[in-house]
Amino acid sequence: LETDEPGSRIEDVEQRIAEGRIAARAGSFEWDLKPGIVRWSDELCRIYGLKPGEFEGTVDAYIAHVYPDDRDRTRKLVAEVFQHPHGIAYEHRVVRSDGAVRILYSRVDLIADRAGRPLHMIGSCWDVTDRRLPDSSPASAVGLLRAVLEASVDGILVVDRIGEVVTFNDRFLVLWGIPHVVAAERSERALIEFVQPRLEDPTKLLERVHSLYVDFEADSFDIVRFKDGRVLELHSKPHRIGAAIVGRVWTFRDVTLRENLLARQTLLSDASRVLSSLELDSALAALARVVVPCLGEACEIELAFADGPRRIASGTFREGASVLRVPLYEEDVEGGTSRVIGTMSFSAEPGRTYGREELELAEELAHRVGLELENQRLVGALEQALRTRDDFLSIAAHEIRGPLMSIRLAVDSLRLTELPHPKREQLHALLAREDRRLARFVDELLDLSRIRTGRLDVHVEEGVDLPEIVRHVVERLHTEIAHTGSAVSLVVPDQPVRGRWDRFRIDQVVTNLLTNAVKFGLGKPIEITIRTGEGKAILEVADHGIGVAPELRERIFEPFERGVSVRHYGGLGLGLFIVRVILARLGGIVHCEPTNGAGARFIVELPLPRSV
Amino acid sequence: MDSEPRDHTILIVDDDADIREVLTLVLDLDGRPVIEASDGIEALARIRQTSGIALVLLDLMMPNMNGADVLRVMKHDPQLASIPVLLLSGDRHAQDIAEELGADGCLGKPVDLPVLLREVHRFVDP
Repeated sequence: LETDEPGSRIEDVEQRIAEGRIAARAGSFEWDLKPGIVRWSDELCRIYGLKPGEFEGTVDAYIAHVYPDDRDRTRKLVAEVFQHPHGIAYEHRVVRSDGAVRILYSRVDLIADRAGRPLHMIGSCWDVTDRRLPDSSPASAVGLLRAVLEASVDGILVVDRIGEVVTFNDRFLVLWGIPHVVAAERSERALIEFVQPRLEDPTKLLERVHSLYVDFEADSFDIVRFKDGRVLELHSKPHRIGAAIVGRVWTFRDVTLRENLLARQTLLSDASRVLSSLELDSALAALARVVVPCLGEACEIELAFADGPRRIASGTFREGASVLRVPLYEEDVEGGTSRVIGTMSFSAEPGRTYGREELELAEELAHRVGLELENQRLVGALEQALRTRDDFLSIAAHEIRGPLMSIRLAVDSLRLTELPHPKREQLHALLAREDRRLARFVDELLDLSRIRTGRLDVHVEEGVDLPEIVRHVVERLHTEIAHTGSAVSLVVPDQPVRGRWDRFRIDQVVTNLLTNAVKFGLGKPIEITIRTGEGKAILEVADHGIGVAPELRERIFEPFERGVSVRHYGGLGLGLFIVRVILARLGGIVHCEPTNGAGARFIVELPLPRSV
Repeated sequence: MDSEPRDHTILIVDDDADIREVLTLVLDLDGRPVIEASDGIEALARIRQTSGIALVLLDLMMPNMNGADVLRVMKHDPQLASIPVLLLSGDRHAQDIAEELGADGCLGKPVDLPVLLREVHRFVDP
């Protein structure tokens, strides 16, 4: 430390030394540079434990009294004096003649002649081993220091090198909950002993403080957790005067809020991480484990699923413990709805009661569980959709291979063999049938694609004649109908049945219904009836075949559904779905009823113009 | 088709009526007596009530009883186990199923006429 005082002036220096001696039993020395003689005052000899005049009078002798670890530094400090015309101050350890190690504070100046050549080095030394903050400081400086201490939002504690309290502010006492009577002991050890029982890890703080008495130079940073949940951040730095470390300054900051937020965020992010596991049971079990230290000592998740209740728990609910319970909602993100499907409960450690913060955290967790349940549902739906798609592709491949096989064998036969005329005719008819079968597949696939993308085109026109369309369809399907042996009867009313419909789409509806009746009709008669009533045109297609089970009468209108088990009857399972979509576009409906006896009856209702 | 079966009778088992029709036609042209069944149950009934079946052309994917089950029943019945069976299927696992269940061959759908006849002739004299 360089002083600001004009140390080159002998008068000033001597006066200050005199003052210093009076103020605090300072020892003094003078080093006459030219002969190299060092003279110590009696007081300085006493500080070193020597009798007056016992000092050997050389720089080397002085260095020999310095504590071995500090000797190199002291030599450098002495050399420094020549570079600083205003003098320096430093602290170092010395070894008294009785072996005791003392800390000396020294102020050293250089005396030069008028030409600036150094003549003497003089200095004063204080034994500051037992030092308190100098009471001799000007009152204003002390006042400033006190004001700074008390203005700080952090707690501040200053201790000296031997663990005695130099100063502190009120905030320090508040943060640590230390009563004034304990603080009045001015002992770091007493402070630690007082707070230790209230810490989560009582030995950690003590070990840290001990380590800092070994490594004086070190800065420190620690987090201390109290059993009541508060968290303090501890910083410390060596307190230096000049190059010497005279103690340590501690600052303490209450970071409970920050730590709680961090713990909450960590918990929520851990919860989200474990919940992202695709297997629900293991995700919930992991969640119950993750939340335990933060939200209590036990957690239980109870869910009422359609396939039965599910209970997942970690830890044990203690008798009489504070319990926090929040509902679990299954959230339908798309629909924006939610319903309670279970609860999530937490049991507190003894002595802990739940408050608003814990409730909010638990609710947030429950919300995330709800989203996860929704995710699981969506994943399940997606997997089902993929399975349905795969099944559909497999069926489509099977359905296309059938006609392809017939066509290939028929073509090979026509090409490779001499056939009698009736056989040729038979194969031509078969080729025509298979051609239509494939065309229907393609149309159905295209319609499915159009429906899915909302592009199913419907062109409504006036005066579309329903009986006429039905007759055309029956005529077109004549070969297929004849092939199964079914006979089709058609009953139409005397008056015309015309409406504002799409001719092509109505044809498609009739074709699909009649094809179904032929396919599932077991070769028995098929009755088609057209009538009107209540402003509607009604078309019924009834067969006497395998029929449709009551529980399937709605499902058969879903895509890829069929009344019979998959792959038992040909077709893509799209016909009735397309029928229903078309009718919906035309303002009509379709449903399925049983016929008298075996078989199925499909009833189509189409709106008629008001004038009819 | 159901007329007096003789020694070289071939049973066609397929739920697709068009496939049965065209197979019957081409095998008939080849000079084979042919009988038909539209599912597994009907097939087993035909096999049991018809003596002298020389070959079964068996589809895998059928209603009521599928081809694999027909084959299992046949292989467990000493009276039926020796009747040759050719699987006729578009299933990509058909070859594995044929080997696993002890079928005598496997034809993929769609099949070419020469390939069909060559396979048939392995079991029935041309």
